[in-house]
Order: sequence, then structure tokens, then C-alpha cells
Amino acid sequence: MFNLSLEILRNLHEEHAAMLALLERLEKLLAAHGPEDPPDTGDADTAALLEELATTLSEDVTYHYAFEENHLFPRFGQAFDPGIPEMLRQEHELIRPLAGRLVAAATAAKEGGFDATGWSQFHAAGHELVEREVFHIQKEEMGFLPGLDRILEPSDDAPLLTAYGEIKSA
Amino acid sequence: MNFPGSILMGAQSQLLDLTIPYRYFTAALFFHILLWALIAAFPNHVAFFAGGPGPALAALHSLTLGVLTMTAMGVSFQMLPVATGMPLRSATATRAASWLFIPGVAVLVWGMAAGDPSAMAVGGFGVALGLAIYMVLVAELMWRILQRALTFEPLSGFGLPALVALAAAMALGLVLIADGDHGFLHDRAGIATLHMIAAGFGFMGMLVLGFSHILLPLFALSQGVPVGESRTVFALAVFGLMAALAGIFLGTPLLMAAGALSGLFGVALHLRSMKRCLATAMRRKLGISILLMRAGWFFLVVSLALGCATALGLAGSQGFALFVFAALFGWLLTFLLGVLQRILPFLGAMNATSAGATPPLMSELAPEGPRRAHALCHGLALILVAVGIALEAPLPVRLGGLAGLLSALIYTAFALRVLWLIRRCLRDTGKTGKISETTETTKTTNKEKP
Repeated sequence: MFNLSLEILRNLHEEHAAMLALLERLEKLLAAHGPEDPPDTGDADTAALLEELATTLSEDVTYHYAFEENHLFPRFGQAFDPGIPEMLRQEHELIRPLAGRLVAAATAAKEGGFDATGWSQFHAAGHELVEREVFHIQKEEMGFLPGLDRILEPSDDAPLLTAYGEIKSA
Repeated sequence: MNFPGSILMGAQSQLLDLTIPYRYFTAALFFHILLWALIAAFPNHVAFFAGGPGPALAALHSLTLGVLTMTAMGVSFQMLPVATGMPLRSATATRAASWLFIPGVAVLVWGMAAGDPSAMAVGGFGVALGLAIYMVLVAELMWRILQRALTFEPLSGFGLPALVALAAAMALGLVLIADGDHGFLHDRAGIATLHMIAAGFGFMGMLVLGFSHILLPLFALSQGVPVGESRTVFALAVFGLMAALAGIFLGTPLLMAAGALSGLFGVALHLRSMKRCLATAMRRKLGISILLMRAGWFFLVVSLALGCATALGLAGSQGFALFVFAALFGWLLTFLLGVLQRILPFLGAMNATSAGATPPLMSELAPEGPRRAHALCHGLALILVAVGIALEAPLPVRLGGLAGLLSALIYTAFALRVLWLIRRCLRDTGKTGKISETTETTKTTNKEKP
């Protein structure tokens, strides 16, 4: 994690920090309740976590990923090594379906709670998502964003902010 | 690229053939088992160790050469190119170094255990040749890093003095082996102490300080260490090392104590930097490995305090032996095991990713249970052997050796499991994990900012 000079990179960093905080809460829930021990979704903390998972995770794998893939990966690949954005893109492809399953399960659980099978599947997917997303963010925070900070010019900031805004409002 | 995280990003194109680093790691696993087995089997030699060939010297060199230097070579060959985006000049030379060094250590350790001067000479020669290749390869790469760096660069800044210290330790080691045959040294104990300080604090110590600047922020997702702080730690560490070596050479206790004190100040500053890294971490759950690293830091402080007390004659008859044990087993081995617990599965996942396979989960590669059991047995072994040395009592040493042996076996099972899973993963994709040998593939750009 470096002192990033562009606002767009700082925004992405803040989204990573928020995602890590959310994943830590998910990890705690998974640790407190084994695969055969569904939590009470009436509990305020659990309900809030499910709500946030359904919205934040969904937005992350949709907007954040799309912006990186369309606007940042090509520039990074041109400047450094094309294999790196390709690796990050492959990780997106791995995480997307996992996140999709988790978001669907969280949305359903908000209404009717978890049954034994649903929780067991949520537990497995959640565990895998935490590991893969943390490893992915680790790479982006320590390598991808500092690398972009070197190659992007201050004049790139505004157009990239606009492009990200458009993706989010589409 | 030249920032801590480039170690993650550059790994795609700069990872060596998997067999190169892992041959060093696998050999280190063997010597890790051997050293604790020797301690458990010959506790008398350890409790009353006063220098000279025998099982205690063999155990000590199983640790210093077989585990610490062996791992340092594997890590340097694998991590330096991916951390800096610069390849080593020759992958073949890294293989040649292993062909000389690994059997060399085995023969040397055998010679030390059996008190066989010929085996020690042959083994020492192989070790020296292997280390010479290592030093040339790594020094050349670090020199290129230094030329490119615009400011103090921790890897090469700490790494180059580490290599100088390694050359000195190696030369002194060869002198000690030759003296075993001919007895020409007037102060053999003094030369042995110089050899130990140059190898333990000079080579391994400086290397650990340099790599910590990269690895801790990487593990914890935190800010790196400010250049000014790194430079001050570097100055204090180098001054401390030089003063201690000069003090031993001249037989001046105050100079030795000044060296240890300077080292303590440097370590205090380094630990403050590391504490800040952990406090500002985006990722706080670092598992059992950070406990081992913290324990390593604790023993580093203890060893320097003991070194200072020993120099001033305040540590009693077993002070020097405890100082050596705290530095080599307590600090370096514990810290290294903590780092490896995280880095082995991490490198494995990187190798799998770069070969186009779906990377296995970290928890699948490195389950928490065995890592906890290993840490527990390792901690118990350290305490028991330290008590045995302090009291000159063989029984606690034997019990500690057995606990250490158990910890080494658990650790080996953990590491072999990582290797097996990675190999399976690569086999499933029909790849070998061999990514690059000597070609620099990382591009630079005209737009790249200073």
C-alpha cells in the first residue's frame, strides 16, 4: 500500500479496504458457525452482514471489476507485463460465480433464514470467496495500484473518474 | 517495477523453474530433522558444548548451513528476481550451486559429527564453491538493483553487506577446518566466534532485515518502512557488526559490548517500524506465522542483550552458549519458520497460477492445525534446550530435542503436502511450472515516473 497520487486509485484502494473489512466480518461469522450450524438471521449483526454482502459484494464484482478490466488492465499490460492483468482477469472469473452464489444465498437468507443445506453451501462458498478475494486484493494493493500510480499521469485522473462513474450509473 | 508488491505482480514472468528453489527447501527440511535428532540423541554434547568436532557442532551446522543458508539460497534465487523484475544471469548456475552446496553440507556435517578431518575438508570445499556461485549471482543482481535505485533500497542495501559477511564467514570456516588438521591458530576460539558473528548476524541477520522490509508489508497489506528509518537501522546494524567483530579480533570487551548495544538500538528501531506495519495493516489476521515471527524478534533482543552481558563478563559460564542458542535457534530459526509457513503456500499458489492452473486455496495448502502443532512443539523445544544449556543438564536438552524433532517432522509433513498439491495441480494442467530462465520479460515504459 503506497501513498497513491490519483483520486481514482485512492477510490479503488478505499473500496478494497471496505471489502477486506466486510470479508473479515464474514470470516468471523463462518468461524463462529460451522457448516452444520446455521446462524440466526434474526440477529442484528448477521442481518446487517447479509444485507451488506448482497449489495457491496454484488457491486464490487460488477462495477469495480468491469472498470479494472476495461480501463486499467490494458494500460498496465502495455506498460509492464501483459501476463499480470491476464492473471488478475482470471481471478475475477474465478471470484464472480462464487460471489454470485453468495449474493443469491444472502438475499434469500435475509427473507427466510438459512436451512441446513443452504447454510452448508453458503459456508463453503463464503470460505472460498474470502480466501480468493483476499489474495486478489493483496496483489492489487501491493502491485497493481502502485504500478498504475507510476504510469498514469495526473491528466488521466478526471477521465478515469468519469468512466468509473458512468459504469456505476449504467 | 520496484515496490514491495511487485513481488506479487512480477511473479508471473520471473518465477524460476519450480525445481530450483524447492530443491533447497527440501534439503532444508532434511537438515531440520537431522539437527533436532542430533540434539535428542547426544544431549551431553549439547549441554556441555565447548567447541570442537562432535554431534553438537554437526547439529549447529545442520542449522546454519543446512537450514538457514540453504533456505536463504532458495528464497534469494526465487524471490529476488520477482521482487525486482530483474532475472538472475544464469539459471544453470543456480543449479550448479545446489549440486555443490547440498552434498557439500551433508559431507561437512557428517565429518563434524564423526570428527573426520578429511570429510570436513571435502565437505567444506563443496560448500565454499556452492556459496561462491551463490554470492556472485546474487551480488551481481543486487549491484544492478543498486544502480537502478534512486534512493536507499533495502534488499540490496542490506543484502550486499550480508554477502560480504558471508564471504568472511566462509573464509574463516575454511581456516577453522584447516586448523583442525594442523593446529596453527593461536586463538581458535576467537576465530570461531568471529565466524559465528559474521555468519549469524552479518549474513543471515542482514538478509533477514532486508527481506523483512518487503515481506511484512506484503503479508499485512500495510505501508512500507520509510527510507530514512531503513537507512538508520542499516547504519546501526553495520556499525554494531563492525564494532563487535573488531572487539572480538582485538580482544576488547567494551568494543564488543558497544557493537551489541548498537545492534540493540538498530533492532529497537526496526521493531518499531515492523510494529507500525502491523498496526496499519489492512489484513490483520496473519495466523500462527506472525506469532513465530514475533517470538523470533523476542529472541533477537534476548540474544543481543546476552551478547552484551557475555562481552562484559556478566553472563556466567554458559552465557556464550546461551547467546549462540538464542541467536541461531531462537531468533533466526523461529523467524525463518514463521516466514516459510506463509511463503511456501504463497509461492506454491503463484506457481500454480502462472502455469495456468486454478490456484489451490491457501487453507488447502496450509491447514492451521499442523501449523499450530508445529509452533507449539518448536516453542517447547526452545525452552527445554535453553534450560538444559543454562543448567548444563542433559535431560531437558534431550526432551527439547525430542520436541524439536516432532516439530520438524510436522513441519516436513506440512511442506511436503504443499509440494505434492502444487505438483498435482501442475500435472493436471500438463505444465511444469517452468516460467523463465534468464530472459527479462518485464517491460519498462517511457511514461514511468521516477
